[in-house]
Amino acid sequence: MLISYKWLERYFDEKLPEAEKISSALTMHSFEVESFEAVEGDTVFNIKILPDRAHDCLSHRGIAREISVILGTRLNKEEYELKPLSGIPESKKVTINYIDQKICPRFSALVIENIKIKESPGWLREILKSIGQKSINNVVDITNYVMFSMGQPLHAYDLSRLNQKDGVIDFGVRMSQKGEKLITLDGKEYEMPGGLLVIENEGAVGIAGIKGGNSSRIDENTKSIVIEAANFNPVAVRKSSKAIGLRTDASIRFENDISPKLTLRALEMARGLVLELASTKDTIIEGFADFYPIRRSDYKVGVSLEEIKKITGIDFDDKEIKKILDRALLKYEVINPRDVIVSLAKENLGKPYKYGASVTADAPNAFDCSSFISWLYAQAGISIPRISIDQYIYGAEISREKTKPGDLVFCNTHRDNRGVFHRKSIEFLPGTEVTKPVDHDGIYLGNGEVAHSTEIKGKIIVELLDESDSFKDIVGFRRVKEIDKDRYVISVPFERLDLRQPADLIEEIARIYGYENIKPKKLEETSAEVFTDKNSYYADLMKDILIGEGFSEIISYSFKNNGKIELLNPIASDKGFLRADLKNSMHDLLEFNFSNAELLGLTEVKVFEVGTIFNSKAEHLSLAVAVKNNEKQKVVDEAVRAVISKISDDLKIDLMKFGVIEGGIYEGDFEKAIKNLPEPKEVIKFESRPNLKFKTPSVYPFVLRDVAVFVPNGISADEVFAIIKKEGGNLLTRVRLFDVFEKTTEDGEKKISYAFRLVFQSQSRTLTDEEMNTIMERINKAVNAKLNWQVR
Amino acid sequence: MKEYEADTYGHLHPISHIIRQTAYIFSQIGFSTVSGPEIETEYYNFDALNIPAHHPARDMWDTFWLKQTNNQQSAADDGLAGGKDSKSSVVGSKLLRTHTSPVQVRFAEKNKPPIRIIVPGKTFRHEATDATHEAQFFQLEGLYIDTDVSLANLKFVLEFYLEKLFGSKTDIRFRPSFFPFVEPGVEIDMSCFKCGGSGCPTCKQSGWIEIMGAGMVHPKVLSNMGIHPKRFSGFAFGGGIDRLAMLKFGIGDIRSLYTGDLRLINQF
Repeated sequence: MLISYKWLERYFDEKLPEAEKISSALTMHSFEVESFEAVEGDTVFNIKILPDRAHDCLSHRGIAREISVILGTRLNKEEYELKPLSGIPESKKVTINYIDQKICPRFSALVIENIKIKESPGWLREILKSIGQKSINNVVDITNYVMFSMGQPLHAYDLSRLNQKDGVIDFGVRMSQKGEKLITLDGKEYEMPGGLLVIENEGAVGIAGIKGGNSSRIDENTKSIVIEAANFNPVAVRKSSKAIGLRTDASIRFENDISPKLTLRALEMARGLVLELASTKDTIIEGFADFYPIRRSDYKVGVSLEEIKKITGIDFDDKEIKKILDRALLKYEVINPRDVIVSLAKENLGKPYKYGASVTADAPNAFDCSSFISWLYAQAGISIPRISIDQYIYGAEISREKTKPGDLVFCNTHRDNRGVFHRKSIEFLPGTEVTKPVDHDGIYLGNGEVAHSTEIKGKIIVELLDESDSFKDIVGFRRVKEIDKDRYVISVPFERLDLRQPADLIEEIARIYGYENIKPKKLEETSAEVFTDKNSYYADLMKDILIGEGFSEIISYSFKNNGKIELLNPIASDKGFLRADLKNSMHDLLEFNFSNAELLGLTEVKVFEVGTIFNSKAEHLSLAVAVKNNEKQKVVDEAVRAVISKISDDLKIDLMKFGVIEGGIYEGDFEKAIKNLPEPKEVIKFESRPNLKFKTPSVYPFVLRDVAVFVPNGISADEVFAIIKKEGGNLLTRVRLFDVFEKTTEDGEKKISYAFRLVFQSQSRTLTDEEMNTIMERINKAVNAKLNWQVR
Repeated sequence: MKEYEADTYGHLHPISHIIRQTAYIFSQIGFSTVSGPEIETEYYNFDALNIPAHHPARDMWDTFWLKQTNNQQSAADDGLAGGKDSKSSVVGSKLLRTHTSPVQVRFAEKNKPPIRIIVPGKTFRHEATDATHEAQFFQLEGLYIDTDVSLANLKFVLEFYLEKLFGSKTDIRFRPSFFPFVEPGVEIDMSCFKCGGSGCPTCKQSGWIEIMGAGMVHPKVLSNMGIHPKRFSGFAFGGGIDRLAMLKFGIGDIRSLYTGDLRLINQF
């Protein structure tokens, strides 16, 4: 996201540190600042907001908060604190009716009449311009300004262009019908697929959370406006956005999920700005409408000092943690979980029973048995699973004698009316089973008493365990480990949807404190056996054999233009399938590499690949081994067979049983071939050669020249090579001795002939015949200058 | 071998070179090496790792999906895809794994902690290719789960590994990051092995090289693995083997690793 330095300044009382300092502080403590650059009278940061911070930090306010937390720069409270809209009457002109809260948890609107649309003032135009936003008019600019300030997208409608029924404009949110048409603000017509989230006002007037419709747009004639501040379901917006291929600044914010509490705060900010920048003497705030059927409760999350130390490996003390939480602008209290749980359990006696009650929405007004427990623990800053059986598995077993107030009691009521006796974990540890089914639980209060939310009595009651009908068949007592350690319980700021569990708080504390303070700590010694998985182990052993036999390993592409398994979204039309063998690519590679054989100093090309191939039923590890030289096919095949036999003998497997040799290439099912070998119990030692550095091959052609030299008996190839190398110069890339023979001359003297093949190549150009001839003449001359040496 | 004799040696691919060296280094601190399938289910590649469908975090992994048979497609449409209950008999969407994390989930389901494993393997991402991006590449991931594992242990392990791999004194730096399967999540920078931190072209003058992502295994992921998140903690890390090979050996173009060109391979 683009963030303006000038814009940030509005949030501070103190002078903001320099851009450079902000950039490195954010990068080391919050998220990466990719760049910052000076633009006309401003500096603009490009910040890569992490997905878990997109709830609160796709906004200047969010970034200002981070800067203040990390660098200690004092915030301007007036600007930073967000006040919700208040003291405004309910609108008589706008109502919000049918909305499914699942797709739109909140829809708020504000009606302002008799305003004047005009150009925005300079400061607003400029500040929007520095983050790349075009100025449209005062009202549209205000909606954008609010969004980039605090992260809540707004949309302004011309009131007179909306459809009225009996003098009232009614808004809704619904899914589009297939084929419905809508012209958006940019004048583009969309024929919508079904299932798109749209704003309804006697027809679709906008694609919800993405882009407004053209029919109710603001222009210079607009007198009265409706400003919408809504909270749309992230998944619904994301699906809509993908379906029509349109991502906007608004949709990005909605799909990352923002707090529904932002809507009235955004409207309040917009109200102030409209009065400041667009009012006339007749301007009135007509009223507001707010659809918000299920209020999200405030969130509490807790963590203990012990947990923080354990996960970070930093030896924090209580004082330091409190200091960090204060710096982080997080309100907290330190509590003893047992006390809180027990006293809250007693306080809530008599509250009505509701099956499937939500911990976030129904509590503390209604509970079922396990939501009561989950909620009580949440208030003490301990998040435990939601369902009885999972709570049972989560806690540690204790005896009835050791059970203390605040611990949990589980039972089987044998009331099979819902069939909810669980033997298996539902959400917590999938697959975990218990011996006796559990369907009910309560909080032990001491003195043999249990508090529980019971369907039979329809409320939360206290009973003696021994006299309770529900607890006739007790399955067990459980203790949640965290209950005995004091916890820092944080009241999570409403916009911080990322702070939901202890691990989130630990991260918050650690990153603010600074990861650089973590000192490396050795692992505990282990006596456990180290092993390698079977496929990798035997593949490595085999590779060593092949390399010993002069074969080089290649790794080729898995994508092919034919095969058994087809991709839904290939990267290119000729890469639409997964390979069904290795040999087809190998064939082409052999040709290519053979053409470079002289450059590589090879007389033949020998390669292999071990890799996964895919047939219609399954994938498996395949082995391909190939040889290419100038010999007859039969001879080549024999060379391949020889190495396949060697591997088979060395590894005690039968590769020929699981593969064939064809055209100089063996391919076979390696996994099947090693199936009966024992499980490996070691990791093969491997050390790298020091200073192994890659030299990029030249893209220019290489040139071959042969030189044969007669020398007196006793002269070694080394001596001849030394002269060739010296005279060949930098362009001489490789030399290979390819022929040696002895000859006795007529006068009885013994002579040796050494024939070398010389490979010349330049990194920067194509070599000419002329320069080659010059080099060869130089070599010939130097050789012939030696006593009794002679170029043939 | 003399310089003018034919090259009769075979050569190990630089990717295998890094994998073998990595496995050996990690074996010295108790880590085993495991592998797993390249075709994965949506559950193991995403859901089990706390990356739900339709979540923006999924954008971090551009995925190759496989064409399904009609039966599979209708099962996916019915919402049967991916969920926990379908763990053993997943009928949902199949894909090419975008990381080797699914192997870790599969391993942890079958083995009780302590778990110390590394998982090298071929992975796939639907990305336009250039000198530093490939649609197929090799990933190295690691997982350590025990009763008392911390970020400090993570720092030790990665320093130990990178120092041995690059053969020079190495410092590790954590930066805040986000991956759905870890919390806290960190980006791992290593001090530049070329200049030692003073700044050079390899580290773009910063003294640091971004090398991996890592963090403490998310409680939800532990729970999906069948491991009690209050009794155990763990760290996980992951990075590109291609990138390690390119850095260590000075290879400039990732694509050159997969062309089967012996002018590259025979240098190793």
